[in-house]
Amino acid sequence: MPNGWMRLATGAASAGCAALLALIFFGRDLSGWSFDSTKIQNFKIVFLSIILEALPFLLIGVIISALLQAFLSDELVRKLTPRNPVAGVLFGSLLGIVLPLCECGMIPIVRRLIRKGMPAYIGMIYIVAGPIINPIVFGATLQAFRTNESLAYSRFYLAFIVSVALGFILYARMKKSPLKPEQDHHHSHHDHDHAHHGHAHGDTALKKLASAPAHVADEFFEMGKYLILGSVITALLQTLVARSSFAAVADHELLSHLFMMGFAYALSLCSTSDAFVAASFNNMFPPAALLSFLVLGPMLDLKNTLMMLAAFRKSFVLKFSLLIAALVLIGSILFDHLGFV
Amino acid sequence: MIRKPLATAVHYLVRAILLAGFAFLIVHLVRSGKLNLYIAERMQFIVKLSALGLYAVAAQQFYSAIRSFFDKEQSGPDCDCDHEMPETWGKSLLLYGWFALPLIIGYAVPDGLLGSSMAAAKGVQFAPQTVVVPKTSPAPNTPAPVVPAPLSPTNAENEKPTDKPDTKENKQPADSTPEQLDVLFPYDNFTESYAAYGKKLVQQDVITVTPQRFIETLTTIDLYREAFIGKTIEISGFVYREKSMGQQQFGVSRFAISCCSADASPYGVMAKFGHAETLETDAWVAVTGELGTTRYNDIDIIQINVRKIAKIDPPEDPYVSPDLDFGLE
Repeated sequence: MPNGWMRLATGAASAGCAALLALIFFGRDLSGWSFDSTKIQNFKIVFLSIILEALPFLLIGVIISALLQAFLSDELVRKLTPRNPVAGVLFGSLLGIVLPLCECGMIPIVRRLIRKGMPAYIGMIYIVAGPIINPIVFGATLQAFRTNESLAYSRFYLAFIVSVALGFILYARMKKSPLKPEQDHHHSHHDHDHAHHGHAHGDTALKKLASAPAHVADEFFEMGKYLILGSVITALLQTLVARSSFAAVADHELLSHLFMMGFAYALSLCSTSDAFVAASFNNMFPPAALLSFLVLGPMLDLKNTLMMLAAFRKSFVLKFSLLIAALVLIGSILFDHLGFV
Repeated sequence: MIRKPLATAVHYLVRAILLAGFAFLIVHLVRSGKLNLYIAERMQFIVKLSALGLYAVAAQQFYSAIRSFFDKEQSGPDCDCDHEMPETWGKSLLLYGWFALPLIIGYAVPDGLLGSSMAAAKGVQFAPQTVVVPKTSPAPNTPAPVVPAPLSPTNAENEKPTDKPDTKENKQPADSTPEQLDVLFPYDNFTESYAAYGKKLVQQDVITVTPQRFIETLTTIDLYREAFIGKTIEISGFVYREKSMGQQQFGVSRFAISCCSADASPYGVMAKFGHAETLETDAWVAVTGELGTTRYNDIDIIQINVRKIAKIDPPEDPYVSPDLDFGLE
């Protein structure tokens, strides 16, 4: 069974690969710098501290997400969904409080809910608001900004305002389904649904509970890779780029917002852990720019764009993303001038 | 895609090892006392708790590995979600290698304290009052710009008798009535708690800057520096240098963290010492001296004129944290 042996080598090979990656990073560290082991140690401290700090929150997030996936039926969600647009918008914005899924777990679920009859605009608001307006993210943000609580609260107010605004715009303007035409991935979806149905009927509560830990591990690995990427980039920035280099950007109002928004987009952090990264820029950027980072990141980032493109039409994703970015930018500048942050 | 049970088993096994690796890393850091370098004390409990969670998930993955190896019917997790094992072993390698990266760095790279190089990258805060006094308001409550030379001996001597007669806080020195203290410590909403703390501090013979109140004490002294000139201060931290400092100058600095060392920001106080060149950068020192002021990078900051200095070992917990109870009592 040569194939099997090849796969057996995975473990050893991946260790080697990681070592190579590590070498690449350290090589980059060293080129152009005199050999300076303190830089590597600084990198290690910042890199690991973000991961260690975010792990508990990531775990809580994926555990709850896994439990919900196992226990909450689509039927129930659909029954609870209101038909009135105002109630619908509020429902979508606040659904995260009772359904605190991580953004990665959310997109496949929302896609299924929309297919099964949930109004699309509610689903889309939930994708946007859910990763911020939920108790886990609230706890993490308050922890990270204990010394600047007004920023922590502003994150939730602004997220709420932006998602309500988005909801009404979508309700008024979105005429056709944002989903990709069914036949596009009909085949793969068919397989998927099939497995689901066969599965669902025979399920006992005990079996569902037994499947939850498997989901935890799956989601942990799916989300964790973005957390590690975000930590690497942040740690490199912090150890290699002097604070004064940011000064030109950080002191300019519009640029500081745009920079932090672009940064949030590229980092693709899980919303349960991004507050700690934001806090690390606390004395470099004005709080209003951090607010842009904290609100935009969970609503819109590289990882979630990739996932949205898999489910929704390209033109819709583009317009939707630009709309979010504009609303967040205007909102956080307004918050700044009104003195909320 | 139909998977071979062996391949599925290997997937689960690698995941179990990685998850356990993270849990062990946390345990290892706790055992060696090095968790202090990464995580603020009040957040450590939840990090330790996550080690337990990681263990549990690792155990479950290990169990799945065994089950999928022996149970040939099983073909991975059936679920309606989009989680799938990576399709090719190249992709798996990349994914698991990526997760191994923090583990390799965690175990292989030696731990070091954050020191001057990081402090220089972040910029040491020598004027902590700028953090509390918003930039927009022109700092209305800081006492008017220094009128006489602040370091003049007369000034220092004027202050001294005020703290000699009293030994305990609640006994007011003859010439600082509460009214006089109010004049020395004006405040607004932003600085109210600092003024209250300053009134307590100024009546002590020796002002000790404790790790618990490191930021608050330095901020208070900086805000009301005129009231503190000539007072004796005790502080410890690492030696930090910048090019623009004088030969005899160095910073006594510590990193303040609120959650983890990623949000570390360095605070410090300038010190002036005749034999400063004997002190290595990044060495930990305990300094006793007299408070004065100096001008550095175009701003007025406080400076300690060192009377006594001793090299010390770095403390177990090298960081200081903002005191969340400050101003609440």
